[in-house]
Amino acid sequence: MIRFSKKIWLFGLPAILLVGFAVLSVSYLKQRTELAEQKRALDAQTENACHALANDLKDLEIALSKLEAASTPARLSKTFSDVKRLSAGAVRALSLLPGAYADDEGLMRFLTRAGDYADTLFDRVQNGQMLTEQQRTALSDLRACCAELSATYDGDVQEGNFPRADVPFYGGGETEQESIPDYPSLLYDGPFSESSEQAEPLGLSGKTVDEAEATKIAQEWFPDRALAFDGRTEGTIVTYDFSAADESGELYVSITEQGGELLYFMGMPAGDKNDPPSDEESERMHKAASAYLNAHGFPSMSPSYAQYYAGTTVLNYAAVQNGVILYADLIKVYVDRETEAVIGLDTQNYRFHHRARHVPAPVLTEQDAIDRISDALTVEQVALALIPKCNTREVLCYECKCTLDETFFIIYINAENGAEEELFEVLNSNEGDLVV
Amino acid sequence: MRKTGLRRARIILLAALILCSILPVLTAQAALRRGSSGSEVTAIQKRLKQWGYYTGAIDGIYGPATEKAVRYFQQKNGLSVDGVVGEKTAAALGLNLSGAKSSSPSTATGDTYLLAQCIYGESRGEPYKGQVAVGAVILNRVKSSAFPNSIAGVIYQRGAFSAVDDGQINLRPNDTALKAAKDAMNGWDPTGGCLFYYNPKKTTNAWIRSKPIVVRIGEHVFCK
Repeated sequence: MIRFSKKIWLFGLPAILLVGFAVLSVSYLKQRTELAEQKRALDAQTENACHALANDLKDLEIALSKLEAASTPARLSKTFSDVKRLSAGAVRALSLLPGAYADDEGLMRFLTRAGDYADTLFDRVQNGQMLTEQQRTALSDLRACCAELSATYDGDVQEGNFPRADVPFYGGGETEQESIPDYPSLLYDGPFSESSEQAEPLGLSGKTVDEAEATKIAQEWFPDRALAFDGRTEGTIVTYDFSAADESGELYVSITEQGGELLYFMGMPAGDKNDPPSDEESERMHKAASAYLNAHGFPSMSPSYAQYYAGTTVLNYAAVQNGVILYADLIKVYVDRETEAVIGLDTQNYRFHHRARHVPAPVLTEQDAIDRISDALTVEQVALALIPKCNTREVLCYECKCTLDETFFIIYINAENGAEEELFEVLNSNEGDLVV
Repeated sequence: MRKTGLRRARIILLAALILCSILPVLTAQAALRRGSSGSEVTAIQKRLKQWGYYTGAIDGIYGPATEKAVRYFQQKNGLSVDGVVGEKTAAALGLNLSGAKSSSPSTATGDTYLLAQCIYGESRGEPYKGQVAVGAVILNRVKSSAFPNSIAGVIYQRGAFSAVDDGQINLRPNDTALKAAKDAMNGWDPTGGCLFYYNPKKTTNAWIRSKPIVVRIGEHVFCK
């Protein structure tokens, strides 16, 4: 027996160790091979994105060059569509490159705005307007800048100079910088334009308040809660922030420095209902929200769509001025499905945009607007509305709520020139009315 | 006697080898607990180490240190604390135990779900407002000319989010993250329009630190 166990140790142990070593070696080699394969795949993806970016820049330059020569609306429209498509493609390719996140902000902005500008001019041409001299100059500047960029990236691709290193998280400044051309500035009103991105809040006036005054205002909104001051938010709208966490649940409150107004408060619902409410429940929640708005200094608000999720109903209300709905001046009222109490109010859009508007008299009559809608649709309701086109521009429209069989549409007809500004389909989903 | 001994040794060795080869399969189908070992334990240890819950060796052996780390992870992530990696803990770790059943479908779809995944992967330990804030930053980027113009484009922009780099984006978001995603989609922006955030305790990068701070929420600093 002793001899037997000795032999096991003598032969068995080295054998087991040998097998163990072999298994480890094979698994190590396999891992190394897999890693090398993954790195090659990632490099291939990067190279692919570099090629795509270089090609899109080259094609973008050609498209911009064609715009300088194009004169008919049809050719201009087609070429603007090309510019939009190519700039979107270049943005996609750029976002796949290492380093793009931190280092290529300027190029990303250039590409996004080139597409946005083309979109704005496309709309102009579609509405029968020709390009101004200033716009033609801007397009020529865009082309020149694009040519410079195209040459740089094309050169990189030709030389096989692809960015290899994966920059670490927030790795700004760690990759080699391309020489940056002077990106032309574009004067236009689009969602990505400089004027739109740097827009200032227009709905806040009055003197600035200090922390003590802000605390008093917050406490007046919630006399029964012990609010703690959390600090300031130095954002586009500067606020004093407060919170409470007691048996009534979490509550966050923000008071603006300018004017000492409530920007938002947000509490937590008691339940977690997700199903759509009955008509009666929906009506009760609308009543609760309207009453709350009336009692808290927002008397003239028109309800629009509603959403239901996580125990909450979110009701959207837009301000109304002399019967004209101001869709930019939106307030969201959060109602608890279980208690039917208002547990949240978000006035950010309202504070950003709300002021007395000069609403021009419509050129078109209501009937003119209805006449412009396809005969296949039944127009159920018409109202005048100012709709935001970007942060800085609004258009007076007839809002026409229509049906086609069982489908609801909302169509906005420009009250000045009859153009169809927007067309939304309203989807009744479990989570509320979605407009797409 | 000598021959029988050798034969027995061979049989034992063979049995050991067979056991070794089927052990991972056996352990994969059951929950993993103290005493377990194999590649799935290695994966758990790696993940726990990556996320700062485990400091021991990655040896594929589910010992006391691994159990302690699992308990710590469960406690931090609102799971029942039993030190055993079952289906739920594995899912929270972003791992699939073989034989685990898929979960019930979430109430969010498409972009909202992706947003919730990113919120969960980036900020699940943060206060609720901080989770909405992370969602708001992503949506502010979508609206900015300096970033791609879709939620997926922003989230998967190379190098933009650590949750994408370390795979935590693939975790199943909890109800809080889903609600935070929906609140952010609805327009609640506790950051006042910020485009960046970082955890000052974890970031040494000078570029991000040079940006003026707009607000601090929980562990995160938000800036424009």
